[in-house]
Amino acid sequence: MTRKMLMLVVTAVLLAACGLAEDDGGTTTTTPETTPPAAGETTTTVAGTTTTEPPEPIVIGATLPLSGPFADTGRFVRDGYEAMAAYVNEQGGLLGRPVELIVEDDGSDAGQAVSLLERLITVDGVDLVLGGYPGSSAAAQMALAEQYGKVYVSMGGHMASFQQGFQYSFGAPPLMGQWWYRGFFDFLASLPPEERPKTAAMMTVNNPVGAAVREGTVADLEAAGIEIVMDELYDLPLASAEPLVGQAKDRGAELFIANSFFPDGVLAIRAVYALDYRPKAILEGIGTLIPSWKEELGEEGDYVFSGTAMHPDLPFAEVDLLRRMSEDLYGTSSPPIYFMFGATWFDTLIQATEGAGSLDQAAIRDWLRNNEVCSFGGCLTFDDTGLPEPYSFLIQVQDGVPELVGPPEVATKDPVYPIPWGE
Amino acid sequence: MDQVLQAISTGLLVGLTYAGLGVGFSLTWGATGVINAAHTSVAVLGAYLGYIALDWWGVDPLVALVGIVPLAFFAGWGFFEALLRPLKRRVRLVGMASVVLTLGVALVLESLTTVAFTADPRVVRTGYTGAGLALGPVRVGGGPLAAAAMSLVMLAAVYRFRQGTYTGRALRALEQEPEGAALTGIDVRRTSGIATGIGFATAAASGVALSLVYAFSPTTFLPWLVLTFLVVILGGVGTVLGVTVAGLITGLTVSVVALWIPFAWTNFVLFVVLILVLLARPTGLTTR
Repeated sequence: MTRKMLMLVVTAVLLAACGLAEDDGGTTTTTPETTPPAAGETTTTVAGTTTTEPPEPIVIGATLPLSGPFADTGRFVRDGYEAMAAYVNEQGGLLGRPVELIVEDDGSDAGQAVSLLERLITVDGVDLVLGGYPGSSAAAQMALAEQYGKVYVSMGGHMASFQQGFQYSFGAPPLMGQWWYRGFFDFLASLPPEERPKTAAMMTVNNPVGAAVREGTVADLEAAGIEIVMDELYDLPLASAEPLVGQAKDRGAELFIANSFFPDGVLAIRAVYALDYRPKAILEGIGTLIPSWKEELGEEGDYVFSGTAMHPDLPFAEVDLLRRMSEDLYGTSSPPIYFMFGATWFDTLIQATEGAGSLDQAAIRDWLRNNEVCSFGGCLTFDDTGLPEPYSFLIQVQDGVPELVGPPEVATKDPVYPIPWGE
Repeated sequence: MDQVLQAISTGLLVGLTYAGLGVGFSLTWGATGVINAAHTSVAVLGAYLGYIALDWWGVDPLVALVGIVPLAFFAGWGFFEALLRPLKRRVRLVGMASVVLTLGVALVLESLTTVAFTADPRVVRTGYTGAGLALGPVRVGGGPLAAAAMSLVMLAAVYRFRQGTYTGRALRALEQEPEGAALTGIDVRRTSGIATGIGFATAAASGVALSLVYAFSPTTFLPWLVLTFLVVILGGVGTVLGVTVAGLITGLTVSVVALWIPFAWTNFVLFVVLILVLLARPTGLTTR
């Protein structure tokens, strides 16, 4: 095999691999199954015959990663959108009209997400748009939504995406890396100083999500007076977490932080056990939020802390609806967190549109700016950037289940600290 | 010193596992000229089969290899007869055409595994995957140790098969000079089928090994494919020894280099090593 041949092959594979992300163009359309109420019906009389036409549906468009690397969680967001669309139609629709949902598969590619959303707005003429996922897609779509004057309710793309002066974007709730462990540091502040960790080691996935979580964590660590003895970045896929965990152990870090996704989070936790590293507490980024953490990792993931803006045990009356939906969809009354995010973004948009009383985007935007939205994650008001006050719920995996352990007013379990190694 | 030993042990275990993933890909490429981009899709399937064996029947994935390896071998042979052989008869640039064909197969397999198992990531949990073991001054994880041991056995078996059996020697002859091999009476069709079968069998076995260390999902085939290409291009096509050395270099680089430079730079160093090796030896570390 000559060098030229090798280069040709590698080029072909890379080109083909690039095509993978652009290949899937699946579209999911959810149309109302039931006849909506008569509020918006049109009556037409032709040659002495009177016919009643059902009102035109309000079309809501979105793109989500239903294939590719983010499909694991993107499908839960899609389920949340679809379940809420069906629910709204059952309740009589929006502004007296049924709701039709179009969800395009962006293949986990932010560029595709922008192209497809632009097509939904300009070609399909959707009335409303919903947020994309993950943060890279949402951040890119926020600029597009601003350009076309469409209210865009989503998780956003962390703090930077909300600092661009956009008028139409709202994080309701946002998935804000900078606030990720706020609940944990609030918990630490409640402890006697001698019980708090003195040193911390941190490994962070080298992408915008990791950077956002790291930024907030460094600030929180400094504010808490905790010395950072290791602060390393890594690229995906991670071959082994043992070199990083080994460094953390050698430097005696009392707090270990893995700002990671699921596969690298699993590697990190297993390396902690393999190397017999015994920190007082472990923080993990995104991995703990997906159902596989408890279903697949089980008790190996116990005592790990993380943060979230949503949890199935939140003591708000609205969550009961999602529990019933989850029972129908997944056979469990504990709705997946990303299902809850999707449902909440959808619900926020519906509340704002009902509140504005029309599909006028400026009116919907102004309603969101001037009113409180109470939905599945609690009640939120928005500042000029489209963000609520900084907050984060604290979760900890206990007996294989990510339990809500803080703040005290919403907690259903007490946090376990320090980790009872060997007990 | 303990840190260096720890890094070396981690690197060796990771490297052997990578080498196990690459060896079948390399041999299939060398013997048939087919660049099987679906190689790591077969590995993902193997990981799922091991997972099912454990989850449904409580059979350890390593024990389940008794069934998975023969199944994958004959599936590979059938794959050669059904798709690769007709392709080889019809096109001149087999390498390029096979990449396109097998990438299509990889996408189909990704879709099928998503339908069958959902897109949720899976983790294999056995009594040893979450455990650690002290070996003198170093500690190793049970999962990485089992994966590396299995890969080492597999690499040794493939090496022994190629060196010590008639079919193995025929396979090497086919790699070196296909037309000459045919002229000496070697059954090219049968040998090519066996080579593809070995490729599938080692891929499935490696998938089981990797599942003891890494979480996996239907889309995992892509990062595993990148690793496979890295190891095979570094080691050379059609060589067990070269792929093994390349795997070890890869594993040691990512673990040992991190002792002295920021971890984020390990991939940079790894690809610098790859470029330097290819400049010095364009066909990889070893030539067949």
